[in-house]
Parts: sequence; structure tokens; C-alpha cells
Amino acid sequence: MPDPTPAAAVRLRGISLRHGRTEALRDISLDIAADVVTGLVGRNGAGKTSLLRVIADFEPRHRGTVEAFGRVMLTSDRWAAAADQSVASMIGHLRRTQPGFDADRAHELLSRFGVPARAGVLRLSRGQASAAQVSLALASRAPITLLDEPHLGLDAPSRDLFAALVVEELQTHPRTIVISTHLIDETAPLFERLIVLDAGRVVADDDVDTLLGRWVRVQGSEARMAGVPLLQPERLGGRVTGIVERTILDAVGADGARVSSLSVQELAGVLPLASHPSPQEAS
Amino acid sequence: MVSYSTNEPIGEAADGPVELPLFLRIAQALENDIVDGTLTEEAQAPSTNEIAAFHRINPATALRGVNHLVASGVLYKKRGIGMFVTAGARDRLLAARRDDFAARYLRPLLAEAALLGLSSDDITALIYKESPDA
Repeated sequence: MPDPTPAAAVRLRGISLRHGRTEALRDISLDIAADVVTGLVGRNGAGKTSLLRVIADFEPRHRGTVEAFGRVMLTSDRWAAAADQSVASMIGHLRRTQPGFDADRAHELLSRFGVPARAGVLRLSRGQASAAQVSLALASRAPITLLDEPHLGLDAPSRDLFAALVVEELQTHPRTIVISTHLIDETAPLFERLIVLDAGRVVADDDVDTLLGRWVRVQGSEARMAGVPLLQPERLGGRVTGIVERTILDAVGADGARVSSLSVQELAGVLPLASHPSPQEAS
Repeated sequence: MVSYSTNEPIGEAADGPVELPLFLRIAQALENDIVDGTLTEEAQAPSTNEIAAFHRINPATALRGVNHLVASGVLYKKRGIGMFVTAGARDRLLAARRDDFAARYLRPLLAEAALLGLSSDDITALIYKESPDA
């Protein structure tokens, strides 16, 4: 079994960040587990990019403390600093400035994605830009590699290649990787841990299997489900389905109800609701 | 992506499809290969790196799956070489599956038959009709 308190690659304490009047991050304290792949998920605006930028030291005006126990590399869709450069010249720049950056690997990955290294960064399509960022981040060999929405615009073969490349990197250069994404179920086989953000707060931070084991989808007739406090209840005909903690279901005992597992994506959707005080009740 | 349907018996409260954790589905896929003879006894099992690359899963998850089979005696480790299928593993897996046969297959069948109003005699007749050696 995985260690319930793994060593930290990044330690965040009391992190808050405002963008103008918006509170992007609200008093976040968490450890990013070392040498595992963590999925970072949450709705648009939940704070995923802000959190990754704080870790990468791109947000000097945050409150709280950040400790990163190793070199950090963050991809993001902000290539502003790279305006007018070719991908190849960015690789040259990273080779000079980032110890451990493997320029040959970067060119290899670009060619596997089919992105021309001579192309200007600003001329790449959205998918090509994502592929280029992923290539540079994986080739950085940074002990803490942060991939912010690596799937943006990637076509299906490129997404499959992305997953294969992450596995390759974990085998040859094991390290701490954080992947933020909205393609949760497609990416979940890479995750060992999951962090769920909602409105700038952490609503879950745990082993994926632990979280999956704690929640179930349950389905049954209205009468049968009357006493079960369901999250996200939906009705069709006389049938109700919804999500509930396994321990609660066992306690109320809905005999004959059909129980099934959640996908990681369903889990990510329900955890923000579960952290609020008053769940909607069925019936 | 891994998309094995799992037929494992599930918890008392459950009688629907409760999926096993990914590492157990990996273990089960290897067990299936042993049961159907794809992976013979004393043959070398795929390495965790091969499993991870094939399924595009985290190598740590593949390792947990393999370690699960080592713990249950289905695989054993030859130091510096890899994992191998234990002699007698297939018979033990078959015995375990026979024990599970009623829970996995008969109970869902009987539940559906009850819904359809099929008697035990009807079911028996159907079994004879569908059997290849009938």
C-alpha cells in the first residue's frame, strides 16, 4: 500500500493569492508528494493555474510560504516571454539556463509530436503549442515537473503519445509530476494522487484509490432511496440515482439498491459538493 | 487505457458493477492470461515497464499489480531477471474461479430468470440447448 504520508516535493502553507478583486487561492496548505504523479483538477477558475504558478514562483505577490525541494519546470499557455522565438531557440535558451535540460530529448519529442522545431512559437496551432510545451517540460528533467493543461488542443493520437511519454519519463527519469487537466478519466491512469480545487480551496488531496473507495453511485426506486442523502440526485421515471459515501450508505442500508463505482471524473465533480455543509437530499 | 470488465464478487451492500482499483485490474488481466494459457507456468511475466507502457498507466500502479500477484503466490521473482508464473498457479486460479462461479454467473442469471418468469426447469432446458456438446 502507498504511504499515507509520502515525502513532500513541495510544501505550501497558508497560500492566498488575489487577482485584482478575485480571490484565486484561499489559504491553501498542502504537500505535493515526491516522486509520484498527482492530478490537479477542478472547475474553470478553481485556481489550478494559479496554484502551479505559485509553486513555480511566477506569482511573487502571494501570501504564505512555498518550499520546493528541487528545480521546478512549469508549462503554461503563456508564451509571452517567448514572442518571436522559434521553438529551437527556446530549446537553446533552456539548455543554457536549466541544469539537466536534455536538448536532444526535446528535439526527439517534438519530432514525435510532428511539431517543426524551426517554427515560430506564436505561429504554432493550439495543439502544436501544447505539444511543444509538453516536449520542453518533459525534456527539462526537472525534479518537479508541472504540466498545466497539457491536453489543450491536442488531437487523439497526440494525447495517446502524451500518456506514453509520461510513462517513458517515469521509467527513465522518475520524478514529481503534477498534471492539471479537464480530461480527467483519460489521464487518471497516470495519477497516483489527486488534488481537487474548488473556488480557490482544496476540497480533496488523497490517494486516487482511497478516494474512489470512499464514494459510490447508487441507484434504486424512489421508495427505496428515500432515506439516502444523495449528492447530485437525478430522477428518471420512478428511479433515482446519485452519489453517496459508502459508510453512509452502509449505515442507512438501502436494500436492493444498485451500487457502482465512480469514475475519477465523477469523483472530481462530487467532491466540491461534499465539502459544503448542506448536501441536497433525495426526495 | 484499461477497460477490463470485472466480474469480481463485490461488497455486501453492493450488487452492481463496482470496479476494482486499477492495480487489481492489472493483476486480474495477468491472471486471465494465466487461466487461458496465454501465459504458461514457469514463463516470464511481462515486466512492470512493459505493462505500464502497454496500458499507458503509471509504472507504480503496474508494480502494485504485479506485487499483488507475488503476494498471492501467482508470480515469483527471480532476482535480476524478472517475474515468473509459479508452478501450480493455473490450477489454483481455476479452483478459485470455480468457487466464485455461483456468485459471479449463476446469481445474476437466476435474478434475470426470476424477472422473466423462467423456472429452474426452463433454465436447465436452455442450458442443454445452448451447450456445444448437446
